[in-house]
Amino acid sequence: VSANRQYTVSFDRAFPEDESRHRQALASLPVSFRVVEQDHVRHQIDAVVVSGGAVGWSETARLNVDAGVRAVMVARPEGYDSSVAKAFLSALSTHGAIVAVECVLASSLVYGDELATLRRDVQTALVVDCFSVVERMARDSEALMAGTVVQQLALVRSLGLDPAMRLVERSETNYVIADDRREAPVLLSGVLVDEGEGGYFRLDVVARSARWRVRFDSGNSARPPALTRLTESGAVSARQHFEHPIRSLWRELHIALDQNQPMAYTAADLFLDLEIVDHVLRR
Amino acid sequence: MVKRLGVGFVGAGPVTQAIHLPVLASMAKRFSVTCVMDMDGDVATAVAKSCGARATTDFSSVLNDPAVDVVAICSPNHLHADQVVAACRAGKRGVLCEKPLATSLDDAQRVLEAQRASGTTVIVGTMHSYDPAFRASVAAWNDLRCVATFVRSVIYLPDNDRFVNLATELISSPTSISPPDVPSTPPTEFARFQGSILALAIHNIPLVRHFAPTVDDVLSARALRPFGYATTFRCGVTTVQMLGLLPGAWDPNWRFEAFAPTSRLRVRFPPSYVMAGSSTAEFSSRGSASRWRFAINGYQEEWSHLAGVLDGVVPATTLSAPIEDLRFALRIVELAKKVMVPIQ
Repeated sequence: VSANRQYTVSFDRAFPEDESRHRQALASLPVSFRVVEQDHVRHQIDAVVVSGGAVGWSETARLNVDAGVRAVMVARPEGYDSSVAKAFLSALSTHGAIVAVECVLASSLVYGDELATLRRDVQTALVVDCFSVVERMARDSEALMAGTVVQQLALVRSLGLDPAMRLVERSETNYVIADDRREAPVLLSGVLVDEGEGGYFRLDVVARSARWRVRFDSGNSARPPALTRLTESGAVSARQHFEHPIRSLWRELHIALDQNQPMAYTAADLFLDLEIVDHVLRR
Repeated sequence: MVKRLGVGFVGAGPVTQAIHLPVLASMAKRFSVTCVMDMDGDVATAVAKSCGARATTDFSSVLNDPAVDVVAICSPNHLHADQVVAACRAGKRGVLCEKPLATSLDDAQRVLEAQRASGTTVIVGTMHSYDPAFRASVAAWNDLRCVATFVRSVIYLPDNDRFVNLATELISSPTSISPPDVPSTPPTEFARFQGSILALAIHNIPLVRHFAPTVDDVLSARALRPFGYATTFRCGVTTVQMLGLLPGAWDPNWRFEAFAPTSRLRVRFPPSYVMAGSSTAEFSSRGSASRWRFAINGYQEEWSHLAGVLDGVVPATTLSAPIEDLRFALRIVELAKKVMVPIQ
């Protein structure tokens, strides 16, 4: 953890469950970040957390950036308005602000450690198969699916792929979307189950000489994903680091703020993915 | 003491040598291998010698052998239907035919007519549908009258040699080795898809049909390279996703899952060629979970079932299930034509 500078963080109309999650992560980084209340003078706030499931979240984020906030953390992105999104992207560009997106799978420390090898194998992939089981948790099915697809797309994007997804099937409880025109198809599917049934994310990258088996739990936990690379000579599993992925994400943001560099998953990536979600799931 | 059933093999390749002969050796009180037929005389002779049976290269010699009660058909797929019909007409008591039963519905109908006329017990070697752990988990699912909303079948397999060589000392002759690939017209995407559905997906179709009995609409279909498929289809309220790919140079992954809003069934199968016992099947519903695993596998169960039917201790099975399996597979292929997209 860098101790070069402590950044202030505030929450702007974030959902209580989002605020709770991020406050918990920030409490584990007391040297790097300090939470200040919303009535704090805006220009003294370095980073603001907005709920990506809230209506008009990108406008809220834009107002903060225009007021001098240097970074926006988008908690659980699920929807957007394309016209407002453009204004937000423009504000980001004008002010040089940074956006961090709560993509808990792609931001996992263990996953990040293995990403270079995984990306090499993806170049010879035969199929990329991402499957999620999501607990409903008394939430709107459409928002849950949207949020899940964003997580999956962030994973796929982290592999260096830029898929052109289309909707194959969608019902109240499940979806299948695919980029099946490419030589190695990319398949994203998910099923909603009742609360208590247990959720998980799986990513299988199958190449001729290496197969990756990646298993995440529901995402909101410090339990690390299990990454295994299977080859002709056996299986190698990644070392386990029990760091909460949201903590990993805040650490990445700290480095980005210190060094004025973009996050691995950018605001442009997010809006591209939200547009895909909007196109394939909400038509 | 019940008389042992004499088994005549038609085709003595890896499936016969690595799977069926070891299984029957473990059931020696009930079966004895009396005849081994293969087009390659050297292979037939060597395999027959290994199990104390008579060798032949002549199919009719198997049919005319009174010591053969049961014909095990392990030949190439396109020969299955004619050979089952011939075995029925020869008055054999039983036939175990490797999957698929036929490659067309007309051929399957011919088999059905021959079987009904002769009264021969014909079972198809859909080993996973005989898997005792899978069956136990499906029974638990059925008890709760669950309706699947999503079914996933995934088969990622390495080269069969990886397992065959651990299951037997494979007997083959230089003449039986396939010639090297020669340039020819490459198969179309559709032909690749069709071939992989009938050769690989067919293994899991009996499982899928427990949860999705018909194919209403194929929503996506792709051939995968070097050999495989990716398809999604719908049956009523159930969406089915089937993926299959081989061969790769890694450990196998053979998985089957079904989801209902409050229940989940998950089955992991071991490699087919080795005696690794049953699948591991898990069924969970509303917070409680059950798990099954048995020492015997689906191949042992299918031979036990055949013996039980011939002994009159279990009810005879009909050919309706394997014919519906075939109809299901062919329906996927037929409907896939409309949705296959060109690969960029």
